[in-house]
Amino acid sequence: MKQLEGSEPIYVQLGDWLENEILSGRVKPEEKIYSQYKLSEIFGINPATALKGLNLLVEKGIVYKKRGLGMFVSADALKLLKKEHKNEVLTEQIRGLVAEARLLDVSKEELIDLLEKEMKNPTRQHIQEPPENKMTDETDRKEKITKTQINDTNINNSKRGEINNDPM
Amino acid sequence: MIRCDELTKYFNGTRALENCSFEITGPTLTGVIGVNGAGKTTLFKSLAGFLKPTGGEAFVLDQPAFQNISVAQNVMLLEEGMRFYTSAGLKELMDSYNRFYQNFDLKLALGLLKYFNLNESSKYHSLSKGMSSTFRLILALSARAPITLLDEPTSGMDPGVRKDLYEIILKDYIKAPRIILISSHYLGEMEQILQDILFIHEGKVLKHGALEEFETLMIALQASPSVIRPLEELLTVYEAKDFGEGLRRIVVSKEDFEALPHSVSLKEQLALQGISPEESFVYLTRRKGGGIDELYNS
Repeated sequence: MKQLEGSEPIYVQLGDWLENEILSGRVKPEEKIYSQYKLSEIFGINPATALKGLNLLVEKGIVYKKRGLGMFVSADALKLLKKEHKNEVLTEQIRGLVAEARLLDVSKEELIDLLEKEMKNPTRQHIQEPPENKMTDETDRKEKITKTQINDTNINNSKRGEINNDPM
Repeated sequence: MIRCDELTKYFNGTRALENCSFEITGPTLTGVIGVNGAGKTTLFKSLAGFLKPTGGEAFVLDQPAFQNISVAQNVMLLEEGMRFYTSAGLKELMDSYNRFYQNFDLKLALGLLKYFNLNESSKYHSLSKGMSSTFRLILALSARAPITLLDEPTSGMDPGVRKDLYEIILKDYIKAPRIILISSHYLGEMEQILQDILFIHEGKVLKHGALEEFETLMIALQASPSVIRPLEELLTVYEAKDFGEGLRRIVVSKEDFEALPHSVSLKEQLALQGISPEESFVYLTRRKGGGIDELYNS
């Protein structure tokens, strides 16, 4: 079944984004993953939605809860994710690729050639876009308001991987 | 905690609410959606205790809301027609709210006033439409009332400012979780900050649920007309459109579609596309009968 872009619920998009953060090594096994509230701030989404996104990973065993400490990436997260992505993401993308190739009258040989060429390029990495965030424009104003009035943690200045201490 | 039991309100024989029932038991940021005249404003006013129900009851913190002072102190209603002393400056208006609402955060209120370049000594009546909306929202959030009702909080504002304000509402909710209800015509803009949606239609609750239930309410199916046509016999179609000769797209309920016992090979031929809550809402409330195209082509 084909799935067009941008049609997933926010929490599913968030789950995908989190998986990509782990796959790309930005958050490593046994490290603490972004808290519900951190994610809520990053994407301007409701904390309940953020928690649902995190729970998608908990259900798959990619992330686990430590009582009072928050959520952590499990030791075999990469293994699980690679397996899942090979099965689902890759299969789906290949299906799209083949459909497109048929439409353009690209032969099997030509397609394989293209694949081989792409695979020889070792540096190129596919990085997934974060879920659409309608609120990240006007960063200046956002920074100002974050600093001065509403909240003392400023997401824009915080380092990647650095996480709130909200116990979950 | 708020609860409506079969809440009914008529104005001179005209229905505004009819057996409207729902309950919110804990802190949530809920979007209240519905077309004009669906009953959103009447619902808010009933919860604030401004209106005497024709039937049923609106409960706030387990007490009937109508003309109840302890309810009034726990409910903040923002609406376009809020009245303020004409001679008082913005700061003085804030002081009077500060005296009435126990949790009022004056520091936050003054900070927001400054952030939006509003002058403390300005008179409310001298503000532009957008600025007075901003001021009302500052007041409503700073009150930190356990039940905060925001009726069209961003009306008359520029899109850029609306975005800012939705972000402030979310931050304020995270800082002080409480029951916040927001009605707005701009569901698409605010949906991401919401936890739940309360969908009011013709004075009743049509659906009350988590955001993701609305995100997966409907689905668009796209394929050649020969694949789509047979499906139209089986499903309620909310919209149908042809894109040239070879492609037809229909919008149907996702639940209905998934309940279909059709073959995998058919699913392979379909391109599926999610429908946003805002679009679903338009389909569900649209007047029955022919589409726009039919109207213009006849």
